[in-house]
Amino acid sequence: MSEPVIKIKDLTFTYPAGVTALREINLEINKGEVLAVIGQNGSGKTTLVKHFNGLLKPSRGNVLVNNNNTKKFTTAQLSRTVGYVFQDPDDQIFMSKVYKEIEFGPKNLGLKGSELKRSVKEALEIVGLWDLRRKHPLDLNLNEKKLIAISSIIAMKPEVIILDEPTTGQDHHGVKKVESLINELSRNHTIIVISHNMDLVSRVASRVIVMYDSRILFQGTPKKVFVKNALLNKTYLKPPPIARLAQSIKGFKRDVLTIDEFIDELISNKSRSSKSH
Amino acid sequence: MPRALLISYIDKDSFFHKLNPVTKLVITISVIILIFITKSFIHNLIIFIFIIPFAYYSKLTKQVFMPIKYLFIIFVILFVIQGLFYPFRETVLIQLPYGFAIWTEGLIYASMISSRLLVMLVYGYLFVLTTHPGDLVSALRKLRLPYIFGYIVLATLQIIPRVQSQMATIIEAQKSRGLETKGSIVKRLRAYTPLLGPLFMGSVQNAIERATALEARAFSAKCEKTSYRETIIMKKDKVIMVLTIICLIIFGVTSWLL
Ligand SMILES: Nc1ncnc2c1ncn2[C@@H]1O[C@H](COP(=O)(O)OP(=O)(O)O)[C@@H](O)[C@H]1O
Ligand SMILES: [Mg+2]
Repeated sequence: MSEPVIKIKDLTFTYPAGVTALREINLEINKGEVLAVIGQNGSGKTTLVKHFNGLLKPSRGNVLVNNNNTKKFTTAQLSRTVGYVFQDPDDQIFMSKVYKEIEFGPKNLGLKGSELKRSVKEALEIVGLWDLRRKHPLDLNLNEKKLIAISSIIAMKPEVIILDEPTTGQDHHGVKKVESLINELSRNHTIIVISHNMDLVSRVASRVIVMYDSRILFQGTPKKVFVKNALLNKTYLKPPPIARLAQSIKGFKRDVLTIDEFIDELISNKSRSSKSH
Repeated sequence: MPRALLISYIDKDSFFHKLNPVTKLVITISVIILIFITKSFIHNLIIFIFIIPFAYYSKLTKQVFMPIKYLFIIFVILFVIQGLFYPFRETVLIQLPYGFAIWTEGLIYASMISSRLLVMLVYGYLFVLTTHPGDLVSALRKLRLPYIFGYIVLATLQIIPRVQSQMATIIEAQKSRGLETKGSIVKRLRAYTPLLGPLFMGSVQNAIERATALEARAFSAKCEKTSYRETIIMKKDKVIMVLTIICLIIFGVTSWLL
């Protein structure tokens, strides 16, 4: 077993205005996993992940990143290890050229010259937007802006990448693009993704945690999580459409999550029922 | 964790909150008139102390005084510059090397300006904290002021907290991209420069969207408009307004004569 990258111990957090957004969270995030965080709006997902790069510091308990307590480091220092892509790209794009936007992070980390150029180029090529490098970020569409925001974090080569609702407001094409990007990045990054798109979660996540009312209600693999309808109902979440369809058909296995599995079930069910006739 | 000062209405069930916005406006404007009549900063400090019962009766005793710390740097600058370079200087208080001196008149002038700023800040802030923007618009409209006037006040009051939270988010985003914001003033100033672009662009974009949304809901239609929030001038409002004006005259005259 490798050491977890992020360890959260008895984390409780109260905003200065008085809202307690996290209560006694315990969680370990392993190297290389794709962790999905789901839960209704206001359940504390964003508050939780903002602790991983030190934007928020625990009111009680501790958060350790590679065994370093976040309380002792600034967000800028932690950004070498943990990259956080905000939910709204308009909040995090502030340069007048795409190229400069991507350069901002690695420059702050001290990259220079050809090394800097290489990291910017790679980051833009991964998201497929190298051709837009001379554009003004405000001239891009929402899909592209989101990819620029992700790319600006990739350029810093952090070990962990957090994506806060990367598909909100995206069209089908944008969602597909984000999905394939997560799959590609997960080969050499630990990924934490907050999402309301259960379809996406079921396909990319190796583990899902369900947040409800400032706590982690339960967690497990997508297959385990998306069959717990009673618990999901309580949190106003629903399994992905394909799983719901499978669950509503008599004789089907309950943990169907993909179209392929659904087709397999269809075939095996058919052969079973034809045998019994 | 430091928390930025929020310049917006805070809902509380208090005597002061329930006053008609016009009454509160009369109090605020009276105080502002008064501090420009007074000739001594000590009088201004007395007016300043009068905020305490107001703050108490608005259940916001702590909040009202929060913005004062943001004034300190301005006070320091005022005292240094006026103390050294006040144009009508006559009396040397302390002789400094290289022909410089601290002048009594300069310090008096600086304390006058500082105390005025202080009073305007706390009374203005109390007004914003205790007055729902919607009530203010409704009350101004009852005074037969043009609708657009109320809207300008409302929009300004709404935009300030929005810009503040937008700014906080952009700073968070920049820290997340490795920008160190702790450290020397120069370092911090440099960190805040790239903020201006997105903030300005965002505001312009907001303004355009707002204008469209307003017109889509017949903002400039020429007819009598109704309001969700109704404000009435009650007896206590009248009493307080009359009292305020009387106080204004008494304080003004005595301060002028003293
Ligand atoms: N800056 C803040 N100040 C005060 N309360 C906040 C702040 N940000 C979020 N909250 C509150 O904390 C709770 C959790 O919010 P958040 O973590 O954003 O939830 P989610 O990301 O799951 O939608 C909510 O009740 C929200 O209103
Ligand atoms: Mg969120």
